[in-house]
Amino acid sequence: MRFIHTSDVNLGFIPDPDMPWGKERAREIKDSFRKIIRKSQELSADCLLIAGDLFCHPPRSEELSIVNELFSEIPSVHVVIISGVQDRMEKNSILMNFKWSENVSWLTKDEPEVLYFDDINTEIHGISCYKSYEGHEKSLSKLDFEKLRPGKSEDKGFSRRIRILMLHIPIGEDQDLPFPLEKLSELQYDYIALGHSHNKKVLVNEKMAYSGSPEPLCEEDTGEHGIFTGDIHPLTHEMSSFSFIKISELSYIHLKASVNRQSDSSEIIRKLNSEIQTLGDKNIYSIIIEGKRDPEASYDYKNFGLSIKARISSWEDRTEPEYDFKALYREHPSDILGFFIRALRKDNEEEMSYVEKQALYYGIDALLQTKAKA
Amino acid sequence: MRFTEARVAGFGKLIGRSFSFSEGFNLIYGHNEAGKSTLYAFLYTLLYGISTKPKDNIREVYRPWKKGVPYGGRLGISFLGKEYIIERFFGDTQEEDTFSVIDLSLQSEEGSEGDIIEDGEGFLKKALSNITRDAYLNTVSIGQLKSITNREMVRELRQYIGNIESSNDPGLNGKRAVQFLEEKIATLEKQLLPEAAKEYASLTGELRNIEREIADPKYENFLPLFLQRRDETGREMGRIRQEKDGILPEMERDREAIRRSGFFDEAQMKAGVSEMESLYEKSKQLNEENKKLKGMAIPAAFVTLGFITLVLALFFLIGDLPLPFSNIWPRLFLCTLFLLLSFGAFSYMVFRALKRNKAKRDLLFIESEIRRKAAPLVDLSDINDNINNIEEVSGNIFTKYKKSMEDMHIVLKRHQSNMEKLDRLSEDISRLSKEESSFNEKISLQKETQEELEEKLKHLSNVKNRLNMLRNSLSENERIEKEIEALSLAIETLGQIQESIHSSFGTYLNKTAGEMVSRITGGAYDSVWIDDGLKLSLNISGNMVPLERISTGTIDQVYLALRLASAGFLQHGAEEPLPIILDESFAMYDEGRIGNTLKFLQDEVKGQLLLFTCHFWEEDILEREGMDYRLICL
Repeated sequence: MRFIHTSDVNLGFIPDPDMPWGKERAREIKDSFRKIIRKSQELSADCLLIAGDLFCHPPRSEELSIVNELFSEIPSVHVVIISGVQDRMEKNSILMNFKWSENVSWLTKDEPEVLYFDDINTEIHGISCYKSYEGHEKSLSKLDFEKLRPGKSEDKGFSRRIRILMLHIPIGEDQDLPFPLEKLSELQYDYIALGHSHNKKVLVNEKMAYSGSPEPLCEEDTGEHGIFTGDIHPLTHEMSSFSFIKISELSYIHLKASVNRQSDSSEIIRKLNSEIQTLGDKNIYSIIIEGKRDPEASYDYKNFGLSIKARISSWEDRTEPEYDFKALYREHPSDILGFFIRALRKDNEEEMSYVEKQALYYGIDALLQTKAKA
Repeated sequence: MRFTEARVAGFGKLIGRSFSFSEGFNLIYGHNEAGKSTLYAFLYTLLYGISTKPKDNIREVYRPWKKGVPYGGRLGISFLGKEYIIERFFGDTQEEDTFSVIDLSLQSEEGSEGDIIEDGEGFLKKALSNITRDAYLNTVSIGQLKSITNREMVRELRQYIGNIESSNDPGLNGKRAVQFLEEKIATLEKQLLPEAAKEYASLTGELRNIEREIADPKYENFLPLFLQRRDETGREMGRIRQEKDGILPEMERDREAIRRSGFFDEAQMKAGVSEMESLYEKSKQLNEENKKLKGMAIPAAFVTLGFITLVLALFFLIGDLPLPFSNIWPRLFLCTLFLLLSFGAFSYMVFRALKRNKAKRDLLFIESEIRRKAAPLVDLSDINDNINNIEEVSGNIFTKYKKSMEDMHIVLKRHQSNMEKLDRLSEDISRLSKEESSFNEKISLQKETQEELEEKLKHLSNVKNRLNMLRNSLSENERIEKEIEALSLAIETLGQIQESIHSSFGTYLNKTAGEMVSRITGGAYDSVWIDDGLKLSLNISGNMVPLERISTGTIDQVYLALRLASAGFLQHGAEEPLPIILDESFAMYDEGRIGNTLKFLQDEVKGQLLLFTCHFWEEDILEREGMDYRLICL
């Protein structure tokens, strides 16, 4: 049985909305979704599993119609969808009476449901997020964990059913949310398709994974984005060809540029530009400038930004002016500058907060800049 | 640091002069115009170079009076046990000036007097304890106060204190720095978007409202339920209609049959049957009668009788009869009698014939009545129309009639029950139809509510998007606010420092200068008090006397004390104290005062002291007191 696992598509979401490429990205999210549908067709997948947050808000009927139209073009693929936190189910949701195409199911109950597909002898278990996220957590923690355990009564003879679980839930290493990892692995599902994380993550090799969103949605979503696919053997239930397929053509990339006292801004721009060329100018970059700079230099994005030919989502100047405090102090042992340095500077610079450091630099800069020429 | 010697190549009126200084008290005597001030100026010029301040046009002031003489010279100093020579020569502009510091203890080259120090300026700064030129001229090197009025002096003093306060490096100005920082804050504040935070807050509130509205139970989706019920109702209605359709044809037929029969209710039917029955009875009766009347015997008899009587009559009329009967009247009587009898017989026969006809006619009539009546119900073509067996035929008809009537009765009953059923079904349909339309209403209301909900959902997603857009502005705001926080911290710290300098300086000054004043004035005044407004007053046994009310000479001493105190303050922590230079400071003093001051100086000044003077008083006192000194004459 061949499946495709995706989640957190977030149709309708506008990434980086105050940037010029925001609307374009929103369209790309929709295009990627179409790509996934096409891939299901190409790969002759049996199931398309969407583990939550297909939409970035509770969907409206026109949105559902558009998506249903797409699904109706792949009638041979069983599409199973659960609600995530953003497109959560509620008692008033139109999902309750929306007429889906034959091959589509959106789980709408407030408790675990099972769908059985005879043609592939597969059971798909899952539960949608209901109401607010806290509500979901609470309801999941109240949920009898045993309800998630698949029953085996339907197995006849050698035809043991393939069993898949879909959940939209955070599972961190250090979080003791509803279920720790080990408990889920115990449940004996052939595959657990998870949703909620924007970044892909395989938790248990070939058995449990977050597919991540097919398109990166914000600066923190670095890395590749796409879908997972795999084949489960109908008899042995072994997973083969479990692989990641890249869908998004771009990534968010964090670039760091180091400067020192002698650095020249055009050099920095050149370096950044060449790195961007290598990595590709379709990507979206966050740039951090670090290091100790000449106190009079400034790395103001507004001056730089225009010369970098790529999408820059953020620019952080983390450089610190290189003041030789010892020398300054020697020169001004008992005047206002000396006292100022003594008042703010700690011996171990690491212990100073950002505000304290900046205050120190601002003060010194102000005193030196307003100094009367002798 | 100490001066060891001064070799003046050319400086003002001093040409090619050399002086050697002692470690301690140096009394430099020269009458007016001898060049004391020039030497005084030479010393600080060699230390600090020629000032670039345009208003101090020193360069020309001290250009050597003799032409061709190099402008400058050498100043020997001793610092931390080692000896150095500062050499400066001046040209027409600063670019032409030369400067070097020679370390006499290092002689890497044979025959040279010493090595030139690479960072002469740096070394000099250290040797001078980082005291700047202005500070030096204000403290360490104390020039003549000149003859100025009391008020001016006080003002001068005040200004002096203010200057000292503003630090070692008067170029550094806390106030200006604070202004600079405040301007930066103003610029940043302009970049803040306070509306962003407000809008974010209001949008968040709106978001919560919409979410609350959406969760309202009135939006609960009953649509599937209603649709299901409506469909059920529809199906039920369909079934009922089918049932109706089922019985309608039958009802049609029955109605037609009933109409044809002419009997519309049970009573009529009963009447019909009994009518028929009576007709039948009558026919039976008539039949009996007919049968009776059919007999020929009686008619024959009567015909015979009639004839016989007629004959008899005739006989009696015309016949020859035996005597009894030969009379007319018995003959007539008997003839009439027999005529009557014959007439009666024939009449009876006629009557009977008529009766028979009538009976026959009646019978036929009844028969036809029976037929007529039976026609709607009985298929008469079946009946064997045998007039001879009319009774049987009628009986047949009657039986058939009765049967048909029974059938019709059944039909009637059936029809009635069907009508009732029809009514019931129609009622059901109308009820279900009402239910259906109520469901339809509910469904369309639901659809409206759903549309309303959809509108709200749309609005929700719009608000979410707007919130998203604001997030960046907000984080930018946060960043700016952090910078403003840092700037404010810097301003606060500078302010605090200024204050503490002020107060620490003030306190120090008050204490130290006060002690000095007390000693200088020989206890005439206890202490000095400098308030926040830099106003000075002297303290005499608990009374504060403002400086304006004090004599010039005393003010002078106060000035001296302050300067010495300041010099001490500035050199606090210096490795070697700088020499104190007093340029005709005691011009205003009387002998007593000079004595006090000299004693004070001896106690106070630990390092080198250079006192320029133009009288002998100082020397006399020094001699008298037995104080160590070296006399240098200009």
